[in-house]
Amino acid sequence: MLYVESINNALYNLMDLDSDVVLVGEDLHDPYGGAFKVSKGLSTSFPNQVISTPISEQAIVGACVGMAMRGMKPIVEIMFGDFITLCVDQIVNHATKYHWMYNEQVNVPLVIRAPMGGGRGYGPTHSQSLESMFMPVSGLKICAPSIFHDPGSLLSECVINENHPVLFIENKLSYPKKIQIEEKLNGGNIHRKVLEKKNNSSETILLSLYPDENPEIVIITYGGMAETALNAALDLFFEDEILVNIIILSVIRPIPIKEFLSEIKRAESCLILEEGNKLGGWGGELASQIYETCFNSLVMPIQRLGSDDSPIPSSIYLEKNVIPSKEKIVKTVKSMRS
Amino acid sequence: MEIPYRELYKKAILIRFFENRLLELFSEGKLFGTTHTYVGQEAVAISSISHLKKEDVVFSNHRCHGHYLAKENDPKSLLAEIMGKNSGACGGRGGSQHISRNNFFSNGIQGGILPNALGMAFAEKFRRSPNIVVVFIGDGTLGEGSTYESMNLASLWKVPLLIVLENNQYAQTTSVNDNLAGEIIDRAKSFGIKSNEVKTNDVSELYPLFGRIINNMRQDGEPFFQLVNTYRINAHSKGDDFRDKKEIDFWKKKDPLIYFKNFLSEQEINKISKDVMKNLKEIEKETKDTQIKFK
Repeated sequence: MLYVESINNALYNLMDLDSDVVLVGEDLHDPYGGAFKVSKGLSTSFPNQVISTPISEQAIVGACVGMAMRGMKPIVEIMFGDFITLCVDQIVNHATKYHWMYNEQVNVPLVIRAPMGGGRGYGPTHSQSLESMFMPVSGLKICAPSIFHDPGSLLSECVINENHPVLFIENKLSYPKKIQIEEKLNGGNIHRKVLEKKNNSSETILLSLYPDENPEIVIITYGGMAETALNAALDLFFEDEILVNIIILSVIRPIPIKEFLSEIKRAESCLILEEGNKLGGWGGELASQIYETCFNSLVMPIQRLGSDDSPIPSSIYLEKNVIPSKEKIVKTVKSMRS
Repeated sequence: MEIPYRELYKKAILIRFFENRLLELFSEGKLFGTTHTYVGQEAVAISSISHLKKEDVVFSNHRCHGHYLAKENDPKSLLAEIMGKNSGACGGRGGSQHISRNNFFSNGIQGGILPNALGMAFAEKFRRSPNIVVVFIGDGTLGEGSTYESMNLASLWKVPLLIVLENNQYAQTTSVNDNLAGEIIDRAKSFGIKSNEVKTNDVSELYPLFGRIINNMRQDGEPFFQLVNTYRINAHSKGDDFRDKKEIDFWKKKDPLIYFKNFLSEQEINKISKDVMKNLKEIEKETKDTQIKFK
């Protein structure tokens, strides 16, 4: 199944099961079916539950906050994740505040879906990964499933069981890819293991060539970078005999660090990889948490890789130089050992 | 339409005493943070909210005490909230401008509450409930873009949202004349929202007006925009008032409480005022003495 199909099917089932579930966003209606075709077919099946709106991100998210406070289950689609900046006030000062500041008298079960990431030549305002901007926002959960997750089931979990706002990040390059959720991948040589869950809607994955052996380096990443990390790990093993494991998070805020601490301790050190800006990014927070909890088990310093501190160029050739690539990961891992 | 002057006066004087006492408590150093008093605008809250059912929603702004008292009639939970006590409406977490109880909500971000109220009205319509949502905004809110996004959607979706714009002539310290181009009422008209404008603090005009609007909304389920030109007699917050004294004196002659003298005897007014004051004093003493508990 493709990543986009998994989410589309989940949305279908959610609306079918519960008439209080509505999908709200721009250009969702058939035959167009949303800018990334995630809502294809849904407005035909559920004409009352799919609500195409004007280009008013703040009001859309704000209205869905109101719907959620009255017991509905709204899911908002932000067409490009970059437009989330237009909803920041609603997320920071409204959606994530009401439950707490009203002393838990109300819930805001709202899911905001936002496609993030580059690699398609969309340029500086349509290619960013802005989720790390929301790391300090108390009361917000951020999910960002990769192709090694079933994004539809994680979305369903958020819609059905979460009582508080969730920012659900979908990587644009993942949409047309097959999800890989079997125990053995890549013709059988990659083992995929779900790490012990501490919370139902979080699913942290370990990918490893030799799961019983301790790796030299563990890469910790999420979203669209997961596949790039895997390709780098394969190159590092088959060309340089460096064993690299990969931890792939589905929930990046709060960081479910307890789920993968033991995997970090098995390695000599870790490389934290994200597509967003490295400066001020998610990885800085994670690195700090790792230093605070397992400093003694690290043989060498943690390294981080993220986008350069630059806007994302439109030119697909220039873009490659800004966003982390397989080559940059390989180079960074090698440099950690020398 | 029969106008319950006694009940309305009781609410109006409760708001007046409550708000002015808050300013005293601030000057005595007994409160922290900030507050925005509703003195001078009481007629708007009581004339509109008195027509609502318990199930109807009120969404208010930073200047929310009057709306809260009119809807919930519970000064004890409000004072405790402002004093930071566990027994407050929100356990002390919200304070003066972030209040919720039953179907009342307020938040202190200009423009941010309008989309929320819009979504609530959508939910009521979606579930075919007979309830309406009333949102109170001010002239200052008109500077925020979300106001226009929300009015467009309210009209497009045809939801039972009553937008009450209390033009108290000032956005904090800046006069509406320096802030606002064009006419306020034209903003609602341009989105095809039914609208009306009045300039009065007289409950004998405002109460029947809101009664008609709310009755009609319950029939047609469509949005309505009511502009009330009024005046904030007190400063924006706790002090720092730079307005022309002549202007303030002009509006003091149009104080909403004065109009009650046309409909209630001096004796009745005094009796109600005395009872309300006595009750408030008891509440204040009780609340002051409450110890804070940490969870």
